Amino acid sequence: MLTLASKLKRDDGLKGSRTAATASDSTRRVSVRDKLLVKEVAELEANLPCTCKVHFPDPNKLHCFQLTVTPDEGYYQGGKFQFETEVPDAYNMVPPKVKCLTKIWHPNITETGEICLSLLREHSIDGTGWAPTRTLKDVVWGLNSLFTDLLNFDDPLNIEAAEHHLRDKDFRNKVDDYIKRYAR
Amino acid sequence: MKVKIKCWNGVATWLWVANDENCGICRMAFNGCCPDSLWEAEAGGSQGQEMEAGTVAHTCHPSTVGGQGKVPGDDCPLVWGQCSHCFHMHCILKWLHAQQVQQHCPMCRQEWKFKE
Repeated sequence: MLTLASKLKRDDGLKGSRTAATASDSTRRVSVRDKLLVKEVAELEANLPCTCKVHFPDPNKLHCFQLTVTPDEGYYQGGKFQFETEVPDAYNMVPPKVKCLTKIWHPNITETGEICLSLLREHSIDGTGWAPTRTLKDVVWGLNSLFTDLLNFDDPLNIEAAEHHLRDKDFRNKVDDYIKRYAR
Repeated sequence: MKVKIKCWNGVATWLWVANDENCGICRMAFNGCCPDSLWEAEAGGSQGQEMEAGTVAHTCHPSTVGGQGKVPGDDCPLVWGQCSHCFHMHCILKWLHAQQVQQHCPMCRQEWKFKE
């Protein structure tokens, strides 16, 4: 009977005799990432939250796209927030890279655009980080949730913003001010 | 009418028995190859035979192709974890190698242990 151990043993023996794939074939090859993207982009576009829109500057490059979130509830209601997403070659073993292009006063997004979302983390100790079973749809829904349920003052990236909320009711005003100035 | 059977050839097909149709990691069918095995099939078949990207490897029989074709089954087997989730062996190995901290199942996040 085929067992995992015997299979791995056989493979180790075979590795030496197997000829390596030639580089010239790589131009013809459709990468794992691109094959997955075709399916995932279709799934994403069919299941967007009503507060989200995606835009592909180059329809032939599915690995680069922009996301616009316009929250309809909560502190960030009325703002228009742009995110830039880049899907690396090693997808889906690694998560997509997302950056926030809009300056925002948010405990989990810095003013320079770094985002703290567990789903986007490549390595996490508690296991809530990226997994290859996740899709672009999960990423977009996760980003959308940063403005509602995943808004988290207890585990901040922008510590100043989190502390501002704790000590001052003025937090809301600063959020609105930033929206007026940068998120229109 | 009397019929005398002179000889007969048995034919069988096999299918994996898994809890799903597709591998959760590569999204390809369990009864087909994972993307890496497909790629090796294409590379093996490049001598004289034009293969389209995305052709399922089980149509590429090793005896008709110049190089080493990969077929579902022994060349691209399935493995089960103790959490009972199932993946192509190549896919889960790729994932486990990429994890530096604790190795966990991509589906349920429990600690990954191969079910022997």
